[in-house]
Amino acid sequence: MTNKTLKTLLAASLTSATLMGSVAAWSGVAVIVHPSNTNSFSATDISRIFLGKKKSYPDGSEAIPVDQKDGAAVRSSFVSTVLKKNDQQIKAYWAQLLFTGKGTPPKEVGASADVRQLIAENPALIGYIDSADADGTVKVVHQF
Amino acid sequence: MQRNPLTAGILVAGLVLSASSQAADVRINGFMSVVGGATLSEGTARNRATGAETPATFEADAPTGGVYDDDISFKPDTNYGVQISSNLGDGLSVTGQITGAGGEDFDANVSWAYVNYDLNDTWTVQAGRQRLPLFFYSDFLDVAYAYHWARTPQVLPAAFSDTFEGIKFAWSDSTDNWDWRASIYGGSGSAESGVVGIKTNNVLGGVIKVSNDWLQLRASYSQNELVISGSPEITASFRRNGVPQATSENPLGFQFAGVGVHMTFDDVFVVSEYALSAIENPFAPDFDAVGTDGTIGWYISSGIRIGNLTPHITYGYNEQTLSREMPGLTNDAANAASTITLGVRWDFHPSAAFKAEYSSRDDDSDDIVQNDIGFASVGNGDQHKVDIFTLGIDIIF
Repeated sequence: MTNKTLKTLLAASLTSATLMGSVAAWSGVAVIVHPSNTNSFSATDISRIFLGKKKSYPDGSEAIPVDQKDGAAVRSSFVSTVLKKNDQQIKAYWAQLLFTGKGTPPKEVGASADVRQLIAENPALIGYIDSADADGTVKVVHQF
Repeated sequence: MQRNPLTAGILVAGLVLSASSQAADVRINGFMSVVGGATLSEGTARNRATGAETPATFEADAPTGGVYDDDISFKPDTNYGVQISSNLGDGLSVTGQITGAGGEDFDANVSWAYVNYDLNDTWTVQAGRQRLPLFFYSDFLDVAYAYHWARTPQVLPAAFSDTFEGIKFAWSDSTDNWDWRASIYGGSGSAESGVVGIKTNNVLGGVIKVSNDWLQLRASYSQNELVISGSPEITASFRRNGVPQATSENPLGFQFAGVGVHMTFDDVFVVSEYALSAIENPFAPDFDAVGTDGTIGWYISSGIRIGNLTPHITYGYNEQTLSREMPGLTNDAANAASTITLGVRWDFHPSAAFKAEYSSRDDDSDDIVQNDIGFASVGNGDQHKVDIFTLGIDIIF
């Protein structure tokens, strides 16, 4: 066996180990808001806010959605379950709105811990994180 | 202590600068398509008067005049765009979009330049240069990444200018599972087509769209008044019964109406549109200014997403019916073409798609016309018959 093949095999087994690890540690997705946000949310409400169709919460206050980094497993899961689109469809959807002045995609703010920290500080924000990362600084309004 | 006015000025400038860079959330986005292709087999167009035959070509991008022939070309479908937008807060934003297309040697054009203001949660006003929203895909025609084809079906009747300068009021709201969007717009536009200058005055139109998570329905109406400029020969050709037409005193009325539906069933989607247009003829109401009853076009397209691949198929049809009332015509006759398109989109990268597409267009024109006043070239051979194949990459950034 050549050295190169060995390296490839090693890399492949490492990759699959990492993938398995992340799947095992991943417990689900929680949609979170600031603890002072008293609105109740249906999956449709959340979807509308994240698709730019609604710019305010049911009580009339401003709603600002935040996304996780492109490629994050939590993001793909949120997009397919709540927004009912795959990663490519959501990109095409925002391309349509962005280049026609009908809307801009939510800001990307990193991973679950970053989203949680931002939302804990700003009552206007809504985001989604790995359920395991939810704590008392934010309020979970939807879980799947 | 005496204040130094210069220092104070710099301080103020610094404060203003930092305030504006904080509030102004500037976004730069762009798109690009690089597409190459050629016609594979062609019919010929025969000039009735001279008998000369010329090979048929495929116009890929009517507004920019991008045309494929039997030499491989990267120009007709290749384009780019850069958009800069800034959110100034409190519902106010500004957007500018510069685009260029191979059909126009990549010259930069301002496709969009407007101010957007959210009047409230449901009403928005846009003022400036905007795309004329005739079809489902008109608004983002240039952004091929946003649809499955290499180019949108070329069968729908086109307007004479694809942008206008003016104002648009848009309303959006939602009820239970339905999202509603409606807009009305007005303004004026202009375009150049070779040596002919076209002004579209009194542009007026509206769009209504209703959608849920699997269905989108859309209806669109638009009208404007055409004024043609150019050499004396050109303006003289727009003359009936000795009276000049398409002038600012006697503009030609252009009307467009279209409906569309888009359905998604899990991984399968179906999209269809029907549209018609006509140019009013103030001197002979029985037929329009170019001797037809108007132009109709429709297509139906379907595709299935299989992982990163989206194979798709489209049938499209376009017809100009020559009016029976025209001098020299004894029965209805159509200048018509149908197109079948097969293609595949491969999302090989999160921001880029590779597309291979084959289109075969047939000439369905009636072959009977006694056309002694030089109107549409019905029956002049197989002028619409052409097959083309293209490969390309669409990117957004």
